[in-house]
Amino acid sequence: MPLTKDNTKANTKGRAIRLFLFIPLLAGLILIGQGSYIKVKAAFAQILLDKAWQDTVDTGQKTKAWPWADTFPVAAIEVLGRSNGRIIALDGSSGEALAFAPGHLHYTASPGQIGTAVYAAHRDTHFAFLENALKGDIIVVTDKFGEAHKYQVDQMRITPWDQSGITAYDSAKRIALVTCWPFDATTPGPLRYIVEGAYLGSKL
Amino acid sequence: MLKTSSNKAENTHLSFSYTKYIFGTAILALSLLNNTTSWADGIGTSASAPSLQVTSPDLVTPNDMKRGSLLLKATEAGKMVEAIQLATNVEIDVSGPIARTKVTQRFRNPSQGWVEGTYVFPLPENSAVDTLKMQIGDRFIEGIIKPKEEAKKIYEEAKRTGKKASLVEQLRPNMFTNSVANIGPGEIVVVQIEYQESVKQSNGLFSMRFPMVVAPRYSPKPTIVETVTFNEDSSTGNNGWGVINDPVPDRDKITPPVLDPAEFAKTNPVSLTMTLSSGFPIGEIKSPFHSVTTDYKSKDQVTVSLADDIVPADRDFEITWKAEPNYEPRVALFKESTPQGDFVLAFVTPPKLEDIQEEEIQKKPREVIFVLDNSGSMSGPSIRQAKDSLIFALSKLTNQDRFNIVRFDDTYEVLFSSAADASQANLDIAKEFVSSLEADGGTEMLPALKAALYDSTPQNTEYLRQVIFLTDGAIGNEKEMFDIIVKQRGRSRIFTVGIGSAPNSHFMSRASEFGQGTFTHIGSERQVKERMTELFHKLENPVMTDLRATWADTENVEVSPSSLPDLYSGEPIVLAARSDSFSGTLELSGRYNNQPWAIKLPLAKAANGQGIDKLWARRKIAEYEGQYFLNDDRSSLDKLITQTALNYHLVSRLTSLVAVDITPSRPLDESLVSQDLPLNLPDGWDFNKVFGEGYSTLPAPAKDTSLDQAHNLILMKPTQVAMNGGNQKALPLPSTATTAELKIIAGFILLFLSIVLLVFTRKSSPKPEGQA
Repeated sequence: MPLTKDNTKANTKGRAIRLFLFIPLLAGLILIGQGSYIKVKAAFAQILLDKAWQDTVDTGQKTKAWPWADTFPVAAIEVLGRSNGRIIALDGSSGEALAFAPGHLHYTASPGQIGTAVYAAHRDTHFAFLENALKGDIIVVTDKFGEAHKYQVDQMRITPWDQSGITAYDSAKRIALVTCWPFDATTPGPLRYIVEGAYLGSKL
Repeated sequence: MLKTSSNKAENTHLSFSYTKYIFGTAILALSLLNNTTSWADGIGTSASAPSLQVTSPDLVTPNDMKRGSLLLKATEAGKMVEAIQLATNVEIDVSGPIARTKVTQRFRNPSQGWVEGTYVFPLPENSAVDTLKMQIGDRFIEGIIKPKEEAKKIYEEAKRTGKKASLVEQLRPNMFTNSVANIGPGEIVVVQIEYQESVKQSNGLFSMRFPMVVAPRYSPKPTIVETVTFNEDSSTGNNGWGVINDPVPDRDKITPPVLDPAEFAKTNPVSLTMTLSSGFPIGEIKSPFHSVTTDYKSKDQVTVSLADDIVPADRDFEITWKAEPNYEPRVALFKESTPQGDFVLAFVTPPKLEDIQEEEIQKKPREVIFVLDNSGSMSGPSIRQAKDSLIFALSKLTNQDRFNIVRFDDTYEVLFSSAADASQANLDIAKEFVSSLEADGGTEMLPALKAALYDSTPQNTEYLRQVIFLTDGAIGNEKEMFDIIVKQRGRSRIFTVGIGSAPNSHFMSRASEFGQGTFTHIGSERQVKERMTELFHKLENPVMTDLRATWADTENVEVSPSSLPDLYSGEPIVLAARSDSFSGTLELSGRYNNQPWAIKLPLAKAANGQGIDKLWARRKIAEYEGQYFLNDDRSSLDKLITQTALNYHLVSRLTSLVAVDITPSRPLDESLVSQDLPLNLPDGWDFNKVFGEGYSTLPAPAKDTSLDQAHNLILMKPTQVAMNGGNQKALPLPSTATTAELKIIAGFILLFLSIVLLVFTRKSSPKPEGQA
């Protein structure tokens, strides 16, 4: 009898431990899900944005990718041979915008204008390819009028977020693609990786 | 899961609240730097000028400014801090049809370093700015006119070499900036600007406005009502400073709870006097927003001053006057001889409607499209005024008319699929639609404008198509709007109704000009009925068309405007012309109420006037600018504008006033840009007279006023804005890492861990079973 009793006790205990072990299992699955969601969202948003961008260029009007979006596409960026086709950039660099696409920093130049046009995106989604960018690479930015502006990468550098050296008053036509650095880090940090290019010209 | 970055970059986004107003960028280029560093090498050099930390809840951009203000550059890109404004004095001198205004303002550099200030000031649209004078400490500077680029270069050069310099540039035809380089610590700056404009005239009512307020353009946030007022009888006495007298009970919810020196300083005490020589016996004088006192010198000469000596600059000053009954002038003719040639200015009011038999007046049915702005900037009294105006307008429609309503914020909606008959049922639907509207969201006027101009029957001449825009015009893309109006207006006529205490009247008067309609301003709810009645009177009544000016005996006349616009009821023809010399007559002819009409004016009988040349030149420039939207050859237009502006000493889009201080140290060969000023103060430079006794240009002691104490307290607060312009501050870059990988990795670790443990527990659990 005491044996049976012991047995039941052990069984209950084992079940409790196993049940307890399901919590980290579940938590692990949720975390993986959340992490993947960020990536999937970033990729899927680009599909919707691509369509909205096409409309923007066709109609010349700001077009939101989905009705509740709080920002709108302003440019398409392609780094020839590096990025996977064109990436649609949104207006502004709020966390909301960056979750879906690269953001065009407010108060920076528009493509082709005097000044530095600054686009920022997450290092692990849209701008992951910047890691491979090299001097001489061609950046093509299409503005909302459908005009394609060409820039050639002339420097890559790493700076703290608040010491980029890029100001709203720059007098040359330049572009800066900005993302977090280092690329393989997993926690947000103060350093930024900047790929800068000089203006080559434009064509419609 | 959206990532929210935790570093300061995020703060930056929050404060860039006027995000859609991209124009800001352009102005930043004009902004101020510390004098010790030049523009170009600003990034690399680390200036050793003392850096001063100032916290202000309201960083601003020039476009946010509600009044003429001296802005000191903040470290945040494009943001500036408003300097303490000590006093403003306005002197308006109206002589016949021309009003000349002298605005004198005192500012103080509150910082411990040398700074450059940008002074932003609103002026009436199409005013001709021709004079800039400045007193910094004991230095006097007077500006001269130069092409914009050249002026900028001269200014930058002076700035680099440590000279005091000043530059007046036109931002928009109704907004100007004045940059002042090298203001010393605690130094007081006095800026005096002079401009002139022509007096407005409509239905025998003469009027002019002094804009003390410029609406912030496109603000997604609700506009905070100016909450500081002056308490004349308080114990603080008449030193010009008042106390916070908060009319907004729930202010805590919308503004920081502390006494806010930035807000306080923004209250710009203004004193204003106007001398009016009308040229005819003056009847009634009214100032709808300020109480005034009048002092008659003779029947046609009067001095008007504010009843409260000093008022806060929270609303535009407007004044209207009428002639005594039976003395209403129908015709006015002035001339002026200058080295640039002879100038003539003519005002002619078409015959009054009362003079025409009722049955002779031909009324056409109308198709009226109302466009109502219910964006966030209209919230508060503005949307009420707009709704009242629209509902009042609906009641004025007759059953032969048709109408439609378009409302817009950042979206737009058209009430009926096409213009509907003004039947009672339709009007009821419309009234309900209008009543339910609330002011919210951004301002995207372009699609609404296109929708309103879309005309399904463009050839229909049976109906007069009239588009009525009710808005505060707080938009940034004015040029696009003008472009659409010019290209798509077709048979439609565009009438703009400016709503609120400070509508963007430049945009609205130009829009109506391009749309061949008129601009009406409604400043308060009390004016709704009166002004809308007046507007509808115009809409319903015949128009003077095909106006032409014919000059007998005078050759080579340059008339401005070169083609005279249609006139609505009560509006005068205003015409300025230049020639080498005038003789003979000017004949004005046109069609009024479908009958030929003409009048002959003997030019020899013109009275002498002043400033007609500048008025003519300003109109000429406006006319050239108007052609931008029709003409692709912009560079030749630019040349014309530059030449005209230089000849007549006017600030324009392409010319600026620049002044560089005369210092004994400067080499003689650089005196090119300086005015030789006499040692004695020129006329009108007596700032003691302007600001009263006891005024000093010496740096004010720190204990100055309670305001200063508050300001000093603020200075010690942690950094948000540094007023050290020495370093061009880099743009903060946003945080650009997601937690995706971190999460995935952590997830896998947990997964792995739990599986290992599961396996382990499964292995160990059979033990008791085995024992059994």
